[in-house]
Amino acid sequence: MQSKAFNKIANLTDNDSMSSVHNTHVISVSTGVVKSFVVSSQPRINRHGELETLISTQAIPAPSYLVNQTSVAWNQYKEKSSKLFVPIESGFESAWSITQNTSNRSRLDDWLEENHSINYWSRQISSTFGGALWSPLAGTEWEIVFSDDSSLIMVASTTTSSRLKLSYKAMSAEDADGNRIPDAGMSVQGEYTFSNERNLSNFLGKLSRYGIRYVVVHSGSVGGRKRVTITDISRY
Amino acid sequence: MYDILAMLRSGEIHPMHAVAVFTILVSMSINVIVSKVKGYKVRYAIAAALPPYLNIWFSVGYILMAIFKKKQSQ
Repeated sequence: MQSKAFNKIANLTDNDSMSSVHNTHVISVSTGVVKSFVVSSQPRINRHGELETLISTQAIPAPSYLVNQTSVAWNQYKEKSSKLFVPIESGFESAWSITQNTSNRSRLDDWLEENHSINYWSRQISSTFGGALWSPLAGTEWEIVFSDDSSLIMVASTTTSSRLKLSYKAMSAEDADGNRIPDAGMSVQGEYTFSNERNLSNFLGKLSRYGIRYVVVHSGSVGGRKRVTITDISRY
Repeated sequence: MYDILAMLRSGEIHPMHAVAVFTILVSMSINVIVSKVKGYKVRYAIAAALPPYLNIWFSVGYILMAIFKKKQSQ
């Protein structure tokens, strides 16, 4: 978001002969995040005698009216979206609790049936009854997003399902950065990329919490993104 | 109705059976209405509605027949 504010002011004030200070607000409706920056633009003469523009950004607290408006827009976005959003009040804080605890999958289905009834039943009926008449409707997949931005895919039941319930699609869970969240009993071996330090430590913390012992064989940074290569030793 | 949904969700009623019953009810009502309107024999309309899953296609054919079949001159 900071780079967006930076680029916007850099384009606006490129080769200006006067210094200026801009208050810039960056809003993402799809994530409900608003960030504000003070971006200052200053002209100077470089050592070749050419005019260049120096831009510096500083994060400031976002104004409360913008936070409220973004929150309202985000709620409307969630209602219109095909994705189903699961808030933390539901008791499911992350996709980790669904992948690692298989009994939670049925509980998540019950929660969706109670709290997104219209969405839930329209998807189930179109897949089960519609799918019996026209195969493209059978077994449609739906993305469920959790409060920590991790997501997973649930598949609607068909006439061949044993129960009229959404079932978890194996190996479909991802964290906010798109790294695969391991299913219970699956290996975590592979290369993972994170957009920031916090997401990386969250991921490694979750691995420890669910008793998956791992070794970071290599860590580094690619294009400003933290990257680690993980291999698991064994499970407790 | 709520009990039936609960039984479907718990697996006591298989979704395949529920859909079979549903298609029989829907296609039988369509076939009977069409046969009454066009004066066809009702027992054929009911017989066409009985095979599950196939019956909905029979109903589509039945409706098309009612639309396009010309009355035979006596």
